[in-house]
Amino acid sequence: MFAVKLENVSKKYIVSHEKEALVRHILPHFLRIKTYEELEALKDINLFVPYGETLGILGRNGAGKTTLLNIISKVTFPSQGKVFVNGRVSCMVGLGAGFHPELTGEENIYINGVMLGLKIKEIKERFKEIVDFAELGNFINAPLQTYSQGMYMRLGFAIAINVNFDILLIDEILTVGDLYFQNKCINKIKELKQKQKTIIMVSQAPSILNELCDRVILLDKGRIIKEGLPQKVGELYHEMMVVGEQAVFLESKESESISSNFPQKEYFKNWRVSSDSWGTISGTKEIEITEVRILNSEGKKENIFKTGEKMLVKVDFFVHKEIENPHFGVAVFREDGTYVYGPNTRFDGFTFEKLKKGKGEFSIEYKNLNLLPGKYRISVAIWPEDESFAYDYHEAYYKFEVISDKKDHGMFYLEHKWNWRLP
Amino acid sequence: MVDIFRRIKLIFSNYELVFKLASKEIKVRYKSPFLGFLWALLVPLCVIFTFKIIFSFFIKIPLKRYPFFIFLTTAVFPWNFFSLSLSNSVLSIQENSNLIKKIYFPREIIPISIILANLINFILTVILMLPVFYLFGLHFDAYIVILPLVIFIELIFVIGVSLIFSSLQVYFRDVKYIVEILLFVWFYITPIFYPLDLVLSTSKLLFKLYMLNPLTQIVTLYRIALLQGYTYELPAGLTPIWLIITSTVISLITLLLGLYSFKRLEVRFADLV
Repeated sequence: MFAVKLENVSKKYIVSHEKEALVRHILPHFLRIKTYEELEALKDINLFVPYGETLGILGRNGAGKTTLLNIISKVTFPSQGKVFVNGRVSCMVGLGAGFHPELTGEENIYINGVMLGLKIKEIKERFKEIVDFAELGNFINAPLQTYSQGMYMRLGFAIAINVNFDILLIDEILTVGDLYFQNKCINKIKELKQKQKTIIMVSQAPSILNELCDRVILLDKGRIIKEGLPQKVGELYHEMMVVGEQAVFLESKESESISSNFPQKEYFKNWRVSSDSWGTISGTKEIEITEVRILNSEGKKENIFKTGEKMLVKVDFFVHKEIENPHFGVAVFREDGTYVYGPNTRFDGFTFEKLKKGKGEFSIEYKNLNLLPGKYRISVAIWPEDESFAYDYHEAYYKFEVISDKKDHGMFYLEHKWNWRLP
Repeated sequence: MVDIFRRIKLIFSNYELVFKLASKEIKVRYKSPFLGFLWALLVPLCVIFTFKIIFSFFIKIPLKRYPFFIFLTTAVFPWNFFSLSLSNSVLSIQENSNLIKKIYFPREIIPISIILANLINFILTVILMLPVFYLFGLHFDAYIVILPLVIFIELIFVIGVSLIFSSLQVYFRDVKYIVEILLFVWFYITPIFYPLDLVLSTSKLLFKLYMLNPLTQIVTLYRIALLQGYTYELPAGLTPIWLIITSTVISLITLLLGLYSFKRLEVRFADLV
């Protein structure tokens, strides 16, 4: 059985419907004259999603991702083709639809809940769960206009995730909200995945898709141009983003041979690390990493930094067995897989000849965290001399985010000075 | 036709959503004002007393059996229910574009819930009217039992008309102005501030056409229900039964038309709002 099946689905939008008045539209329609331009948001989509699958949808802005979700959720109708949906759909396309700012959180839970298809009785049963998940506390009795953007989002997410659905549609919402809540959402989705729910999610972040999806489709200009394992599709997408139009062109002609047609591939490969194992812990545990803390200049735990701020990564470890010549490494990755920076104590010329049993700690201080805004991850590892295996390796396990009020492009902030002489 | 009945069933199965949206509408209406829900009673009360003052002291219009202000009141509130509901729901689809674009539910529910909120206001007004009329020395006869039925017939008619215009408005933004004019004209071709027999003086054919206006029938039914002995004032050939049957039939046809046009036009709502 399938959860969702699309057969030759196309969707056309009329580009200028500013004045779709009698004269401009209906009359020409009867006279069979075309007076408007059409935009094909989706072309000939065939899609089969079995029960229990988590499907990811990747694609650039305007590729048709949201339209595809909207068609599955029946919000909009396809211009051609057939859509079959088996089961109750919950839709996280716009969180908090129907929220009214003057009503309290509680009243809004009921309104939004019934809109998503819950019965009042069901909402009553789940009320506490929703409030707990959203972490609203006493704010639940305050009108929504007093909420912060984050609280608003959390409430919307908490309601939508508590709908008794078979099929969940998620549209790029996981990239909003802070890291803490993002992780919470991802964990919740993993939980749903284990319950064999069908999940269809749109995301721009290949790492999230890698973590959650069984299969990913890549949409471009309304067509599915690639379908397969998250890593593979993610890689292709990344290449597309780097080369822009050119790769898209090649791809739509020959979907398999893209990698061989792509000359710079090797170059990029060196800079990117497969993120299959992201978020995992491995190692022989002769030395065990017991705690990792990311601290700000005041020594407080923090996961959001401004470009140029001080950041300190403090690692506690425990040595279970006497070890000779280990070294420590801390590496920074960007959320899209780019390996940003990874020094270790051996490269920097330090040697620790013998470690005795017991507790220890090391830390690395980045005096000026000159990264540009984005989401990053940190790996922490303790290696033997030859790095043939790891004592303990927390791979891309810790997350932090960089923000800035500067608008620079690129990856790093490089100390710079402009000079010029005008004619 | 089968489709439409399936649609009606679907709307009924979403009754909780309809009630929740209607109660939201009412809550939002009366949340901020200091006097809150009291306004739902205060406004109609003020209207009745204004009529009383104007038509007892300034303008004296003699009617055979009833004070003019009572005669007027019995029709003005049903008319208000109709015109408010229609003008509120015409723009409802457009104004709720954030819902239409995000969640799927039968879209008819949006105008219907607005009408339901207005209905609650209207019923409160009717409940208020009865003791006030009594205080002014009016008595009721057995016809008062048809009052709930008349309200129901009007409700059906209001929903039908609102569905037609609210769905058309999404495609043609000119509809709301047409509705404005329509309401203006409709007010005058309905016997709200003049008695029916004034129309009798025209030709028989014109009178028959005039009586086809469902609102004329409904307003007349309200008067039958609320005004003691009003049946004696009816022009020859008009009986309460005939009025009930024809108004029910016309209202039901309107409702089906509304549901049909809404369903046909709904297909592109999310693309157009």
